[in-house]
Amino acid sequence: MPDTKPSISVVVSAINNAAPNIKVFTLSSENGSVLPAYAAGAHIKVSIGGNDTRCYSLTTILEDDGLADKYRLGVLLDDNSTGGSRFMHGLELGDTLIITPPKNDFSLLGTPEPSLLFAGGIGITPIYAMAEKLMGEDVDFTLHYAGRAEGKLAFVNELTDLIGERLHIHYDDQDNALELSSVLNKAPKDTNIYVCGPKGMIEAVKKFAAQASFPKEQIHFELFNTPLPLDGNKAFEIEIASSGKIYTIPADKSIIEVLKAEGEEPLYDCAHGNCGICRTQVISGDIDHRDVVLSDSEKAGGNVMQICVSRAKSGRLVLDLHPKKSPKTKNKLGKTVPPMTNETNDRKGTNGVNLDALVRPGASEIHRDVFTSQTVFEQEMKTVFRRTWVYVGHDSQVQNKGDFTTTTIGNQPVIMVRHTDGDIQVLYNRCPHKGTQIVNEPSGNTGKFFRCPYHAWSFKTDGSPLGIPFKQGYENTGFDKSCAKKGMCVVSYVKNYRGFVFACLSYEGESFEEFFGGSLSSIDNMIDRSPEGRLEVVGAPLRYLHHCNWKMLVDNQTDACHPMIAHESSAGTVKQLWEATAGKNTEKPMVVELVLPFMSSYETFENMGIRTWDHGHGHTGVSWSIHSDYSDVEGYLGSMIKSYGEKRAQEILAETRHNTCYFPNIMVKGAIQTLRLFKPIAADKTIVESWIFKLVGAPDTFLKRTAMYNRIINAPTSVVGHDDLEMYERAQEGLKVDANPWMNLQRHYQEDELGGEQVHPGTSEVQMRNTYTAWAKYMRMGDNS
Amino acid sequence: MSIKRQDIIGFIYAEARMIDEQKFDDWLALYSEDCIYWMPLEYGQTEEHLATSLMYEDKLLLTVRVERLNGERTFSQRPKSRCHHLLQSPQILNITGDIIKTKTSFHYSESRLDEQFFLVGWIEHTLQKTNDGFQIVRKQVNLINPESAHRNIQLFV
Repeated sequence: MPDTKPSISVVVSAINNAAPNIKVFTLSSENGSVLPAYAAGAHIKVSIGGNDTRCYSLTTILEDDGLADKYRLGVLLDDNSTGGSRFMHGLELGDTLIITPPKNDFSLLGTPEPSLLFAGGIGITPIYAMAEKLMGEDVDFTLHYAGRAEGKLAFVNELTDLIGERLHIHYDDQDNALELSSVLNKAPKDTNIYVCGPKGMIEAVKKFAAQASFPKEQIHFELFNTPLPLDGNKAFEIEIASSGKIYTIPADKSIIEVLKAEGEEPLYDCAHGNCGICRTQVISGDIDHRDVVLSDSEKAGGNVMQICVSRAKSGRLVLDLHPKKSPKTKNKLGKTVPPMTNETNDRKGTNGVNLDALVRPGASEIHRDVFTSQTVFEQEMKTVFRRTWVYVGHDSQVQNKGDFTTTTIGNQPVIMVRHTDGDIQVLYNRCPHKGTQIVNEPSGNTGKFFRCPYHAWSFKTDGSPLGIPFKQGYENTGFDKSCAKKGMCVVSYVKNYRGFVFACLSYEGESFEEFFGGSLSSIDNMIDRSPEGRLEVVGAPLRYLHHCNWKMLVDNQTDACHPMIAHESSAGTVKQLWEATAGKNTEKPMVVELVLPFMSSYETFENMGIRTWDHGHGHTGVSWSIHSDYSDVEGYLGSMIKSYGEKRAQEILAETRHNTCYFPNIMVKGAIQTLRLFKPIAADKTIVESWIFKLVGAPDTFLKRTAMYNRIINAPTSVVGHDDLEMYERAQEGLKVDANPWMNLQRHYQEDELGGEQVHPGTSEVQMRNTYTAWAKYMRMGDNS
Repeated sequence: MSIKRQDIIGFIYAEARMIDEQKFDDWLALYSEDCIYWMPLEYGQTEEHLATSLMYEDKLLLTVRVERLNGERTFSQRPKSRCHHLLQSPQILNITGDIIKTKTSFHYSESRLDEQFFLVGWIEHTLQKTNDGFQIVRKQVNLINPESAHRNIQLFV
């Protein structure tokens, strides 16, 4: 129905203060012409400037005896006014207003049955007119007029004069407070009930009338003080179940618009009823569905709505806007360790890979297929990378809600995201619909939800489904039972250890604490080096593509016999140049300090020691490392002592471990705050990511040194990196030789050298054996989880 | 001391040619003692010290690289890499006293054994006029894809 625009000019011919904050306006025809007639219950729409209008009910004008050349309105100044009542209260005598002709959505039936009128506050305006009408027709009626306190109601004297004992005044704070159940129970069952007032009153009248067995058709109501029909919309109220807050949704505003204005931060996207993101549970109320998202059965169910376009048919909607978060499904921290004693290869799921033929006892020799076979690679993706705790990222990368990073666990693309509840979630990076990657930037902020770019399926940041456009196409298709219906797949086992986030894809394997055991001391040491005990990732990682197997990089981290040889070209050249200029420069440049220790002797490396832990973890540099002799930085020790006390600070700084390998695929350097992640791509393809951390609260010199170390040693433009990559790729090629398919790792080999925490000679290949022993163990678990 | 536009452009071309012809000692001599050769890690990066870069080389580090390329035990240079610069005509951005700033777009190829890769971007030179020509005070190499997973980049853009 086309909206009627205000077109009639009227003049404010009287203004009376009817009660505190209530003004009564008499409007007269501007040019003396007769204003359109109206019946009790009618309202007009007043233009309040721009395209904005407000609706006001017309009330009785006693002296005019039905001649409608004047209109009278009562307007309560509302503290939360959106402009209407403030505008009206600013009017002065003689001001001109533009109004519509009267319209009536709240008329008396005009039948002889008795009537019961209820008015709440300023809701009296149409009720007053009704009372006058009924009085004139000699129909039996009673008017219950309720307000918060004495003195706040308008027209009390006029009404008393007009209807006498038929008027019952009720004040909430007095003994005469309105008791609806009693009033309604006493009324004859053919009574027509008319109510105008705040929503709460209307709801209460409806409820008690229903309890008193009044048919619905006999109950007539109108919201007071809010727009009446506008574009076919009516105002209504919503109540937020979790907070109890109640908001009025005007006819010209959507629920979302009001919620946003009120700072409620609703989830939404399209705002047109298409995407489904603003889907909201409705606890009670009569929904006017206007979206194309919900299925017919969902609409009929009446407990869910799209709050961007849908409204209330009447009354109030109670919305579950902030549902309690669903409890976490699993907690691996206490999980039981599955049997892992099966040392044979006849277990299902080994994909034909014979581990006894690949890893010799004690892992003293490793078959080249471990590095070159794509079959083995695929199997390790399904076993090693599913059963172990794999590094996902650092929580400083996702500081704010909705922040995400993308990475891989083995070959599985995942998203690490800060969920709206503040927890970190790890989700598989695919849309449950057709597999599209949900996000593919290295990092970003997704807001409150992920939205697949292909068909706009949307998901909360914990992966749970939010919306599917045009969803009725899935009705009666079996979709309800599909995996797609459940939303994005979630990685259940996630551990944020002091900022370092690890995930495990399978319920099999150890708990986080069992898996890492004492090896966490290296991560602890890196963190503890911050006077605030906090690290932050700085910048993007260096990314370096290697045409070799990922495990070659892992085992090189604890290979103490290669630096003085493979890096002679780089570190050796630095040493030569430095020695040639010695005496000229008084201060050793930072870069020299970083690189020279690579040229330390075999004896030095031998003496530094290697420590091993169960499950493939270990580190070089037990008593000394290439990071031990860095220059002091002014002010740092003092702040460490202040934070930790002298003894503890010295302990932290004395621990200068070299490389700590966390099985399967990261290496951490606590003393220089770097982390390298060896990402397997294929049997002969690995991407190395080298990340740096800032010691929060420490002088910038540390970050400068760390950034320098990273580019000098780990970059694809690094001369040191060139040395290493050359060796890995030559090995990848050389292992093709059939005449000897074994990689030898027998340096310092002893039987029973592994188990618990042990320290070994620094040039031992024991940590490599530890790595492959763990690797074989997880490979043996098979892929039938 | 007048600075001729053609001399600046000729100098920048000559620098690239020295790299392509592997005359690294001559090339190194073009750099001032306090030079900086910078290749940022992130597109648009402005932080030089407190963030990782691909390269941030002073004269000492450039010298290490050149020495290393010539070294007997530099296994990643056996066999040696080769490279080629294809430069767009350098733009002279401004000249302030004897300091000249230029911008030069490049296509750079580097090859070793069966592999060849390709880098694209622009170079910002800061040159200082000297009595007998120019010195490079600063060279910033901006790749269009610094964050990509690169293979070894062993020579000089």
